[in-house]
Amino acid sequence: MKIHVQSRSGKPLGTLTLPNDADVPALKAAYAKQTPSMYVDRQRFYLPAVGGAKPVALGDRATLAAAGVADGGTVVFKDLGPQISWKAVFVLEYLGPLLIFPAFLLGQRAIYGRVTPPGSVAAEHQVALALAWALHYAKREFETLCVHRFSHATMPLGNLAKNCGYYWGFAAAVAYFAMHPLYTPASDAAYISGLVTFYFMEAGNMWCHFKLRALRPAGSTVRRIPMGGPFSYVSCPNYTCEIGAWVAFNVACPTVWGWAFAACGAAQMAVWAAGKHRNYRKEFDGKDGRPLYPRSRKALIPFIW
Amino acid sequence: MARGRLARAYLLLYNAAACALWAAAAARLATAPGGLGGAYAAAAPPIRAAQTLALAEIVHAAVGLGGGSPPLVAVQVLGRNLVLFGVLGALPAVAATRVAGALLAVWTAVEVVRYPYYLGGLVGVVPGALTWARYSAFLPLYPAGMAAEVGCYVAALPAIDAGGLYRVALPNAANFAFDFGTFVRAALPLYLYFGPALYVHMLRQRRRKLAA
Repeated sequence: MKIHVQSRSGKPLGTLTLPNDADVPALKAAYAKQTPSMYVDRQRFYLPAVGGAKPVALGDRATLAAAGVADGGTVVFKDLGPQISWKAVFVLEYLGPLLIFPAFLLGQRAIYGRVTPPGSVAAEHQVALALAWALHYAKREFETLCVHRFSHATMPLGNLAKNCGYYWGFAAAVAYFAMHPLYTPASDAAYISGLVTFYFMEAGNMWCHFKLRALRPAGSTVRRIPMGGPFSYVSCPNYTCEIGAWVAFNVACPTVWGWAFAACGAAQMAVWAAGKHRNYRKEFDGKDGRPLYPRSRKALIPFIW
Repeated sequence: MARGRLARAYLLLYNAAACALWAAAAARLATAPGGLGGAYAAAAPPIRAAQTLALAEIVHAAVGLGGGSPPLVAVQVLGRNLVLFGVLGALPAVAATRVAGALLAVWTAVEVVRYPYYLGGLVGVVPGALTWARYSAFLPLYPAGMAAEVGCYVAALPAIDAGGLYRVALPNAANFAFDFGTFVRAALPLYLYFGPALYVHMLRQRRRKLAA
């Protein structure tokens, strides 16, 4: 079949010859072959808009015929802009915090002109806190490279600066005060209970990530209901653990910027958790042989929300 | 925008109160002993009341009662209140300068047109001259207000530094430090960017409103 491609303003961008049973990925591959600068990940196709209606995007699973594109038909091409892989973004955005905290500790003399009095409680806390912070991001780097299975390959390149600015900026703001020679340490009780809870939550978070990995076979986009452990109570226990870990960190290492970072992260994860929870309930509705999502399960906070 | 009767009655009351307060400010400014230097001493009470009331406009924008995007309204109201309460209210010597008086005079000149315009819109009577004034007064007043606001901060900087206004120093249990003088120096260049951007936005609105 022959498919005409046009830009959003109606400019013709060429005609592609495809097998009659071609799907959307085949269309993208063919267009990338014709216009190599537009690699597959930065392409999106739409059906031509009828009247004032919003144009309908072509999902990757559909065949062209099923989506309503016949031989001699037209599709609209949108350039999503330069793309970068999720993996690369994650590796770079976590690299900042991973290095920034230890850098403030080891570079005290250069940054503040003096060091925390050696042997003081503050000095002792700062070593353990910098280690805890760095381990958190080392864990995230490990999970990014070896555990997570990404459902999308790429995101727009512009997101890189935004994400790095968020993580690097907050890391620098928290580290500046947490590693300051005039740092006021938490009480023994807060410090010890905070750090213990922090590592417990980190372990829980990692357990959830391995569990989620096991749910999705390599190379597939299969979706299943996660079961067992904290998943019995909430849809996103990985976020519950992550938020718990940051609250615990701030108990052990009280800074205004640290609480602000935890609040921003918690707000963002609450939005994601609400979305995932809704999708689970919608997808697993118990009809037509689909499993029913456990009705008592909450989104993020056990028994409450 | 569809509004319930209760919402309309509330907005009527709100805008009438704002009109009255800014009219009082105008009257006090006109008769202020000592000219611009005495403007703050004379007109501060109604202006402080009006600007406290204006905090409600952030809520209005957030719940869709008034026009404007919530972040933009918040920046405008809080930006004004920072200089009014945070600087002039805290530093009497700066409040008695001519540039502070000029700032209050410009705000008042803007608001004695803006709020009657809103009020007129609510009751459905907006004379053409009022619309014209609403979308023309800003032409000189907006740059003048910006300049006076920046002028107030510049005039206040020595006192802010010397007195350590709002300074939070380490060590403290919250492990937090803040220096208002540094904050002001970092924020002032933003006026150079956002000032012209807002002006262009209002010029575009002017063309649209006055063409109709």
